[in-house]
Amino acid sequence: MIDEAYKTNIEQRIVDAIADALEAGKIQESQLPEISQYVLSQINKITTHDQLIGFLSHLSLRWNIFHHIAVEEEGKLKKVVETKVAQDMVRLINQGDTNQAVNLAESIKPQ
Amino acid sequence: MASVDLKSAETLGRAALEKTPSTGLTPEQQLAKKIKDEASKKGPHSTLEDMRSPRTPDQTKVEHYLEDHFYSKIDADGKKDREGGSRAETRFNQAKAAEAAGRKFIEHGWDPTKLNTNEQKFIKDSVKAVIESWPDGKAFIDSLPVASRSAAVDTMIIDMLQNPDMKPAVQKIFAGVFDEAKIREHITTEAGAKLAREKAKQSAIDGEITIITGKITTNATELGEYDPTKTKGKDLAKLDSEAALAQHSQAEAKSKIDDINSNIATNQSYLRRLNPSHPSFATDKKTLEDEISLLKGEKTIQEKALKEATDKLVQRQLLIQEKQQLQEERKRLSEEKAALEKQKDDIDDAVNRANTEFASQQSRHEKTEEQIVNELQSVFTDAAREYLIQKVTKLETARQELIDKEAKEKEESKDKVSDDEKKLGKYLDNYWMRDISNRGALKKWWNPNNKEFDRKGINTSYKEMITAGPDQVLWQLLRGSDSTKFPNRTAAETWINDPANSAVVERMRVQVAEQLITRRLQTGSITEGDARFIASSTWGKDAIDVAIKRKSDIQTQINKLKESGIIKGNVGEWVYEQVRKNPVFWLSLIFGSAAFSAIGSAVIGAGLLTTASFAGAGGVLMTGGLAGAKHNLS
Repeated sequence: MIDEAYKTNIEQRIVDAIADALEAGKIQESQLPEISQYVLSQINKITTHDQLIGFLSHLSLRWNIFHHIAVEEEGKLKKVVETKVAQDMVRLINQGDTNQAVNLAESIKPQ
Repeated sequence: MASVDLKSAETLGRAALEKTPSTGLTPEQQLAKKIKDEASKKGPHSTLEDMRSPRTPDQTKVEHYLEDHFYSKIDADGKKDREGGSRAETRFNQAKAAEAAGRKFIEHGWDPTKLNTNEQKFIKDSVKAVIESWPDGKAFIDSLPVASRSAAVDTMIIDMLQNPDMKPAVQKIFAGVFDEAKIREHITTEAGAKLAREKAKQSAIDGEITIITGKITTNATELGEYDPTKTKGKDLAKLDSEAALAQHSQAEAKSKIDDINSNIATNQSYLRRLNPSHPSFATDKKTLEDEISLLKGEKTIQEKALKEATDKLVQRQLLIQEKQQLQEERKRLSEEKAALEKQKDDIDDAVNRANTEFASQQSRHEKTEEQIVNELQSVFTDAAREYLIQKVTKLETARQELIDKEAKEKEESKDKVSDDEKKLGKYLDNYWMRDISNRGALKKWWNPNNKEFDRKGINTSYKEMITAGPDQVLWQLLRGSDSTKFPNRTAAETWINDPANSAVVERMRVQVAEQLITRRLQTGSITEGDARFIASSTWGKDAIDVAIKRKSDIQTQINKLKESGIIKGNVGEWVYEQVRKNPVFWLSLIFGSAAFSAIGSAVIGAGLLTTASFAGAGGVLMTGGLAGAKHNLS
């Protein structure tokens, strides 16, 4: 689940990215209403990390100035998943279910 | 005033708009800093919300922009000037006034304490013009009783201006006028400078030609003196005629003088050789001295004759020389003038070309000025249009959602909508419409779809309904919606009159009546007699109920009146009573498109509806019964 504090953190990074992009001349002031409108209309709907990743992917597709945020969040999610998988694998191995542990490990291998 | 080496006004305009304050940061850097500062103070969410509306352009920058864009003259130093009484000055004042009104509205909203009388009038007139340019709006205004129309329209306009959605609409349009990306192509004053340079050349050569023409005139006057009728001409002619004689006299006098000199010398020689001791010495001496004296007298006479003859000849020669010099001068001056005139022709051509180019640029510049004025003066009309379109879309969507919800509920209930009703509903959606493209008409701002109302069909059906009730229209619609089931009028009427179909037919009548009254109001008007007839008929009342249910804004306003105690008892009865008292207005409000209620429901909420008829109240809008209702039309 994504709590309000996390959303605020994402919003802060989005705002920082906007300011940096403006300063670097990557976006124009006239684009701000469209960007902020899109962010505000989408971010309120987000409740899970998956939704957040989906939102950030779309956001960075429309404006690549947000690409780094999407990548960072995807990385975080991947790390969370890997940690969880590792814990589950240890648990399965301890239970003697090696096959299941192997299957689990296979499931997160990149395609 | 000559113009030289001017900077492009476009560049100056941009410079004015982009002028960087003393912080040394670019506008983008300033904005980035501001965003970060705001995010740290207000949080990122509020910052993002602030970003949604385009920033109102900085007043100082806008003032610079206007100052820089409106001018009637550019001097040699590139300084622009708006001359008093020039069109540029008029346009500048218009632009400034419209800019001030827009800025104050964005800052304070509709606040008569901040907006001066002219600004209030300008803003209200702009909104009114939009409402009146919109057929629905015009029809609604026309539906208002004459006595209360002005106050009601004022209420509607102020309601619109006070609506929280109006300010962002104005802000968006206003910011768009000064959008840097939109700063339009501006006059390149190089053309003005070129013209000034060419004109300076023209002026210089004109001066030279004037001087040489003056010299030619003087020369002609002087040469004219040699005309045979003028003094010098006469003198020269006389001298010419005397020249031969004078030359002869000169030669003769010279010869005589030579002879005399010789004789004098001889006599003086004799005189020196006389012997004083000779007895005739005295006599001889006197004879010789007398002879010499006589010769000298003669010599003086001859010398005078010589001088006279020489003087004449010299004088003649001088006159001839002067005349020749004047003639040569005339030739030289004429050649010089011809050369200058040739140069002038080239310069004149260059001036004409520069003038044409400048005139074209000036015309473009004036158009630019006009465009800025028009855009600024259109801020409120454009914003009002956008506001109304959004409002109407929202209301239509809400209304459609309610209709869909009703349909879904019915579908799920045992009182399921029959296929006949579904077909009829679908058929009704487009029954009184026609494609604009069929007749090549242009789309209008209030009707972005390519459909328009079939006014003729609506009028025919409406008259039929008023004359014979909705069944008269219904059978035709049934036939149209399902020609297999209803192959002819008899089949349709038999079905309508079948008691087994009474519930469905009842709903269909309401459906038809609601749609037809709505369409009628969208394309024309309803007479007071018709309105009373509709409001007193069963199908009319049912249609009113259905229509009100689907218009949340009217319900909101009616609820307000109920809560404030103005409506006592049954709301439905109160509404029917209002419809009977002020039938045209109410039917317009209830059945008119969402547009009517978008602009008109404020009239109800403002307490402009009374329990007495508008007409009957003789123009008095409020009665004692509505003393508690608030209104601000004083």
